[in-house]
Amino acid sequence: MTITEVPTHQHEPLEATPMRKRQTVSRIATGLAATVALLAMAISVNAAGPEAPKLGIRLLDSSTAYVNLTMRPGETKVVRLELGNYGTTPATARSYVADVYSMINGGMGVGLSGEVTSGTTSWLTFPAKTVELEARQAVPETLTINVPSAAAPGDYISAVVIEGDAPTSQSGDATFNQVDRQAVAIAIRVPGPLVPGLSLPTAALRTTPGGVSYIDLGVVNSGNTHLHLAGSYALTDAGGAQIAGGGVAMDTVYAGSRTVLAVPLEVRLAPGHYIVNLSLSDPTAPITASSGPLPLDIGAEVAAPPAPATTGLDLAPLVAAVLALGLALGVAVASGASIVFRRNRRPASEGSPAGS
Amino acid sequence: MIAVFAASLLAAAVVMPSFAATTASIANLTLAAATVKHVTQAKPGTLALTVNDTVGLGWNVTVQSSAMKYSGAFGTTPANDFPAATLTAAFSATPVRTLGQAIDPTNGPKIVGTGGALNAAVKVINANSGFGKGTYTQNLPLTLTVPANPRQGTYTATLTVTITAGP
Repeated sequence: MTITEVPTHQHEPLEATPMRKRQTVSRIATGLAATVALLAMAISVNAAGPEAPKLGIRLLDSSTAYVNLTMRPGETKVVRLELGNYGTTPATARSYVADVYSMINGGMGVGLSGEVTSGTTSWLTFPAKTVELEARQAVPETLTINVPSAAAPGDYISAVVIEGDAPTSQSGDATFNQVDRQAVAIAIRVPGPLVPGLSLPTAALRTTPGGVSYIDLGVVNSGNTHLHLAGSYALTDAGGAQIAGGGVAMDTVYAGSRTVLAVPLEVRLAPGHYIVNLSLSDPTAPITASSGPLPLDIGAEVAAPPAPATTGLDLAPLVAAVLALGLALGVAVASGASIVFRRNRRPASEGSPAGS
Repeated sequence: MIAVFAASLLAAAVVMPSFAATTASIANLTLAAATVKHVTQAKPGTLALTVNDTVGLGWNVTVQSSAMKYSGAFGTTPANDFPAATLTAAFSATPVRTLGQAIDPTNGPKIVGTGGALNAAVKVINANSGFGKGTYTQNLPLTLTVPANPRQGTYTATLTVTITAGP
């Protein structure tokens, strides 16, 4: 998005002559008009960019969508994969390994390029690299997995990623870059007892800058196995009357991770005290957990309605009216000054001696 | 001549990928015209997401944004940027098949997630294993909340579209 500026008007010092006063009034009017134009200036935003590189990863030793291995502590395996350019133009590809986290409402979130890695990603040997790929060309690569000898039983996950080396720029007044990438999970199970763990400790209200409100319900997978959770929630007021509720389902919540279940809130909560109850279960783990009554206290400043542009206080008309009033006042002052000037000059010319 | 032709085919096979591709990209970003004001403004827009999959083993697509970096006369300090959360995704539109496997109401490709601020990755579409083998498009409604009294200059964000395969 580009916001341009109207040139600033340079005011000149006031002078005492009537002609200068008239010019000054005219220039003030010009300055006011420029200010109004600035307030009403439109920003056109529209962009359509070039085609982004079509890059992908294919596993060479497996017909599965992602790497899914069972490995014992101290074991090492090599994964063969292919980095490909499926587009019709050459591309520079960047590949790297990244941490996987549980997204809001569960699911596979993948760390961005350059972010610090830890945990299971440290088991992987795959230095970040850039590769020049012609159209419809692929190159083979290997990724080595070393499970530490002290690794505890359970589910572990990381990811390998491919993306364009540079963002694709969108042209137009709206300047957006885009990065398209593919991430393939590296899922490892270390054999041994799987002990599910689940707690639902918190509730909070969150409102986005766009004015959409969510109840964020904390979900902690404290066990050593991934969970696929579903259940129900209920929001009640201090008197026990239900305000919202219903069934909920989450995508995968990874072992040893925490995230939130974000429930969109259709109603605007008045300031006050509320209670949220959440119950989730995974019958295959198996595990069930209930939050118990979670307090949700809404202060006046949080519950205040967002200020969308269509209903918010728009100062532009008020400012324009004030400026117009100022302009009229300036014209009146200039007219008065002109009259005074003429009256001051008239006696001098009428009273001068005829032959002087 | 046959030997030469066979050698050419072999060379082509070595360098060409298997075309077992799964890619996702966005295009045709639009945002409604904005007016400079002293109050926040919600400006609606859309993104056109295209997913192409020739594998059929299932996938998920997420979108997230960086902060909108400011450049202009007021200096490139983070205080002048629009936070990434000012860009939010609403509920996505129903996916449309361009070619390939038909859309299955249960297994997809289908809408997922509830939208949200793009300072975190937001899920928009997924297909379960055995589904979503083809080309599909989906319109993503966006809203940019322009803060009050924005600095005059240029704001740039990077949108990251990730197609994932995982448990």
